[in-house]
Amino acid sequence: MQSAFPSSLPVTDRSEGRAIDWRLGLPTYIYAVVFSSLCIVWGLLWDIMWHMSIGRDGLFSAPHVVMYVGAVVAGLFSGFKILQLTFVKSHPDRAASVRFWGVFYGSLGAMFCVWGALSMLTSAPFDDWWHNTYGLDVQILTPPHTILLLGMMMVQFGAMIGVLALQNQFRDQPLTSDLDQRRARRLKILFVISAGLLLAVLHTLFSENMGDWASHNSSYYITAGIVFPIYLLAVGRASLLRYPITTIAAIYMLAMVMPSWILQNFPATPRLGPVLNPITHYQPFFFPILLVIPGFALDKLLHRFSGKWNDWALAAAAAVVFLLILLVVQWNYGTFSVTSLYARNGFFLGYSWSYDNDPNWEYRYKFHPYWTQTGVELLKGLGIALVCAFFSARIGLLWGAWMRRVLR
Amino acid sequence: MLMNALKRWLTIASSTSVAATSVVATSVAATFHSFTLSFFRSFTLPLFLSFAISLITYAHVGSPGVLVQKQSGPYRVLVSVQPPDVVPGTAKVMVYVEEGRVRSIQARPVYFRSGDEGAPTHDELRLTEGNRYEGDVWLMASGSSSIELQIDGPDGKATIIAPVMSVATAQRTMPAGTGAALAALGLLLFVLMVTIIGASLADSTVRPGQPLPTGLGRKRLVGMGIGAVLLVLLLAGGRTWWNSWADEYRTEQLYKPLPIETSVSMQTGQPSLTIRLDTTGFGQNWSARRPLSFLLPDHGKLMHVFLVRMPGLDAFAHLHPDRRDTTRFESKLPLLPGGKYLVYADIVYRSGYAETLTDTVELPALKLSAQQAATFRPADPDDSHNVTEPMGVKSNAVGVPHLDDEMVLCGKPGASTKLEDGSTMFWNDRPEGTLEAGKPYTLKFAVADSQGKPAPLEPYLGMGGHAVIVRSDGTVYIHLHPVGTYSMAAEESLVDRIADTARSFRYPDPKLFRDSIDAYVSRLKTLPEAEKNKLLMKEMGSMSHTMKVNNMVEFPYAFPRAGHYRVWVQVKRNGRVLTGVFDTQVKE
Repeated sequence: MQSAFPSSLPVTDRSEGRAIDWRLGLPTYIYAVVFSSLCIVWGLLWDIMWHMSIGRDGLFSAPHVVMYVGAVVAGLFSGFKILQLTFVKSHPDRAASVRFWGVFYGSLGAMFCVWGALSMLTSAPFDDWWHNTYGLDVQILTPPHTILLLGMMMVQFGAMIGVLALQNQFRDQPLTSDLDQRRARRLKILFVISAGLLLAVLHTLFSENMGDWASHNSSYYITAGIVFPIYLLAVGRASLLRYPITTIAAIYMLAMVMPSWILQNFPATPRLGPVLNPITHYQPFFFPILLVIPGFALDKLLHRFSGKWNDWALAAAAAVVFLLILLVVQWNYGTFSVTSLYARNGFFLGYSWSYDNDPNWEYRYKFHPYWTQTGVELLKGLGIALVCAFFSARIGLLWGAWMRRVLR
Repeated sequence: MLMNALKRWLTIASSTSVAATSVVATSVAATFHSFTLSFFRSFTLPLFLSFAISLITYAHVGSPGVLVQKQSGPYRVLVSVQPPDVVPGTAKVMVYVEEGRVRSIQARPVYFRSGDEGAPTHDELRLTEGNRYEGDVWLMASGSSSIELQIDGPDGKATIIAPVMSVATAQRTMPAGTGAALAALGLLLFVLMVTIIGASLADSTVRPGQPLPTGLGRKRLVGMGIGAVLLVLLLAGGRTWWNSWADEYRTEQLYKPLPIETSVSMQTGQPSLTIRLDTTGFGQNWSARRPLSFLLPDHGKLMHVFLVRMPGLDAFAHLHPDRRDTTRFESKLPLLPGGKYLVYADIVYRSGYAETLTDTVELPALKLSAQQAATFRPADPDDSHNVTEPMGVKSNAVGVPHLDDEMVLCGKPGASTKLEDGSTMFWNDRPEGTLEAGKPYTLKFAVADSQGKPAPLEPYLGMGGHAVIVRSDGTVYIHLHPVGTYSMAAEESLVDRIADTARSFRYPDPKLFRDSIDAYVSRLKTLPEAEKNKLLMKEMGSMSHTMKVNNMVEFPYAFPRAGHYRVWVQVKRNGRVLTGVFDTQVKE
C-alpha cells in the first residue's frame, strides 16, 4: 500500500509496530512544538497579567517558567531532531529534510524552532544588561524584548511550519486508508491551532496600538490593516479546512481570552508601588478582537473568487472587505467595551485596571480626547489603512502560496 | 519583564490628567543613559566594550547612599540604603540592630506621590549575620521616595523612615564579555536565519524523497541574498531604535542637577554671594524642570551653602542665603581668603526631593585693615566659617605611601583639633588604620574645654551638630547630621505624607506657599536662639536625636570611594559656632 506520507512520516507499516495511539503515528516532535507554542502564548499572557496585578517578578516567576518550558521543549525536540537526522545516516526522515551548512539535516520547522529558542536565549543576557543600564523596562517593546518576542514567534512559526510540511505532503494525494484520513484531519487541526496561537502573540505584540480605547481612531485600523491581512490570508491559503480563517480567528480568540477568564478568579496583591488601584485579584488582559467576523467574510471571499481572480484583485477585495467589516465591528465593540456597564464583568473584562493606574481617572470609561479625530482625519487615516491592508493582503497571498509548497 | 500595553498607554494618559502629580515627577530628574556600542553594531564590530559608571553628582554629591541612625521605641538601628542607579531598580537595604530585641524587620517603598495608601506590601528582610538584616526594595518611580521599615520584637513595634532619592545616575557601557557573547549569538542567529530563508525558498519545497532539482542552488543563493539584505535593513532599523532609546535616557531620564550661576559682588565694602537658579532648561524637557516655588526650609533655612577653597580645602564657610525671588539667593560673605571655591548648595523641595547644586566661584583677595575686617557682619547669625591649614596629603596620593596613612589633623598627625574658643575637639573611637570605602562608620567627636573637662554643647540649628565631608578633589560632598546622611526636611515631608491617606498629592497654590515659607523663615531668623531651637526641634519631633553624652556628637557615614577626605565638624558652645577640621584617608 502506498502511503500518502512518503517518508517524513512513519509509513503505516512502520507505525503499526508502535501501535496507533493518540498520536496517530505522527512524530511526537510535532505535538511537542505545538505544545510549546501554547506554553509561549499562555505564559506571555499570564506574564502580562502578572505585571498588571502583582508587578514584581523574578527570573523564575511562574509565567516565565511556562514560557521557558515552551522554549526548552521546542528547542530540545527540534535540536534533537536535527542531531538525529545528522548523525543517524540511515534515518528514513533524512529524505524529507533540508541539508544545511554541508553537515546538518533538519526539517524547516525544526530550524525555525531552534532559531527561536536561540533568540530567546540571546535575549536573556541582553535584557539583563538592559535593565541594569536603562532600568527595568515598563514597555512591551524594547530591543531585548523584541528579540525575545521574535524568538517566541519563531518557535511558534516553526511549530506551524512543521505541521504544515506534513499536511502538505498529502495535499493532492489520495487518502486511501482510514488511518491516513485520520492523520490528515489531525494535521489540519494542528495547523489551525498552531496558526491561531501565533496570531495571539502577533496581536499581543501590537496590542499597544490596538486597544479598545483607540478603536475610534484610524491608527487602530492602520495597525490592523498592516498586521492582520498578511497573516490571515497566508494561513487561510495554506490551510486545508473549509473555513480556515474563521477557525484560526476563533482559536486565537479562545487562546487570548481563556487565561483572562481563568486567572481573574485568583487572588493577586500588588508587590510594587505606587499602588493606585488596590486590587485583590488578577486583572485580566483585554477581550480579543472579534476577528471571526471579518475572518468569515475573508473565507467567503476566498471560496468565491480564489482561482478566478488574480492575486492583485483578490488582495484588493480582501483589503476592502476585511477593513470595512473590522471597522464596523470594532468601532461598535470599542464603544461597548469602553463605555458600557455591561462590559464591566468577568466575560468582557472591561473592568480590568492595573494596580498602578488611578481607578478614578476620568477617562477610565470614556474615550480620551487624545484619540478623537475629525471626520477628515479619520477618512484620511482609513485611506492609509486601506492601502496598507491591500499590500499586506497581497504579500499574504504570496506568502500563503509559499506555505502551500512547503514539504520538508 | 513584559508590561502590558494597556498599562503603558494608561500610564502616559493618566499622567496628563494629574497635572499636579506631574509637577512632582518634574521635580524628579530621572534618566536615560548612553553607551557607546550597540548590540547591532556589535554584529559588525564585535567585542571590546568597557564597563564604566561615571559618578554623577546628585543629592549629596558622589554620596548616593543613605544612612539613618535612630532610636525608635526600644530599638536603636543603623539603616543603610543604597538606592538604585537606574530607575526602575532595586535599593539595597541593610539594617544593623544596635539595641533592642528584634524578631523581624520588614521594608517597603513609600513614594511621596502616592503615600502610604499607594505603597505595596512589605517584604521581610533576611537576617544575614549577627545583628545585620538585608533585603532589596523595588523603586519603580523616579523622584522623592522612602523606605519604610517596620521593626517587630517582644518589646513592641517601631517604624523608621529613610528618605531616598530615586533617580537614574548610571551611564553604563556593555561589559566586554557580554558584548562578545551577544555578538557571537547574534552572528549565529544571523547566519542561521539567512540559511533558513535560503532553504525556505529552495530545499523545503522539494517533495520528500525526490532528488534536488538542478538550479536549486541558485534559487537558494538568491533567497539567502534577499534574506541577508532584509536582515541587515532590520538590524539597521534596530540600531537606530536603540540609539534613540539611549538618547532619550541621556536627555530625559538621566539625573542632571539644576544648574546654578554663582557670582560675587561688593556691597557696602563687603563681598556678597549671589546664586541664581538656572531655569533655561525648563522648556526643553520635563526632567529638567523643578517646582522652585515649593522649596522647604531645612533646619529653618531654605538653602545651606558650603564654600570650600581649592585646592587645599583650607577655607570653609557654611552660609544661609536669603531668597530674593524664586530663582535668586543672596548672602553676605565672611572674611575669606581669595581664590577659587567649590560651591555646594543644598535645597529640599516639598516632595522631600533633596538636591545639591554645584558651581565654582572666584573670591577676590581683599586687603583690609583690622578695623575694616571688624565691620564684616554675617547676613545670618547661623553662618559660620573657618580657615585652617591646607590638606596634609596630596590629592592624588591614593594608595601611594606617604608620611602618614593614619588620620592627619590639618597636616599634622593627631586625633584632636583646637577650636576657636580654646577648647579641643577629639575624634573618638576611630577605627584602627585607614577607613574602608563603602563601610558604614559612626564618626564620633567630643569636645573638652581648655581644662580638659567635657564641654557641654548647645544645639546648632536644632541639631547636636553638623558635619561636612569633602573629598580632596571635590567629587564627593556630604552634609551630615547625627541622624544620618539625609535631609531632615525630606524626612519630615515624607513622614507627613505617609500620615496623609490621599492616594495622590495635590500641590497648593505656589505663590501662597512660597510667601508663607518666606514669612516663616524670616520670623525664625529673628527669634532668640533658645526659642528657635525649641521650635526647630519640636518640628523635627521624633526625628531629633538625643545626644547621649552632651559633649559628644556622632555622625553615621560610609565613605563612597577611596581617597583623602576632609571633615568639618560644627558644634555650638556658649552661643558660638565652632568648627573642628580633620583629614582622613579612605582605602578600597
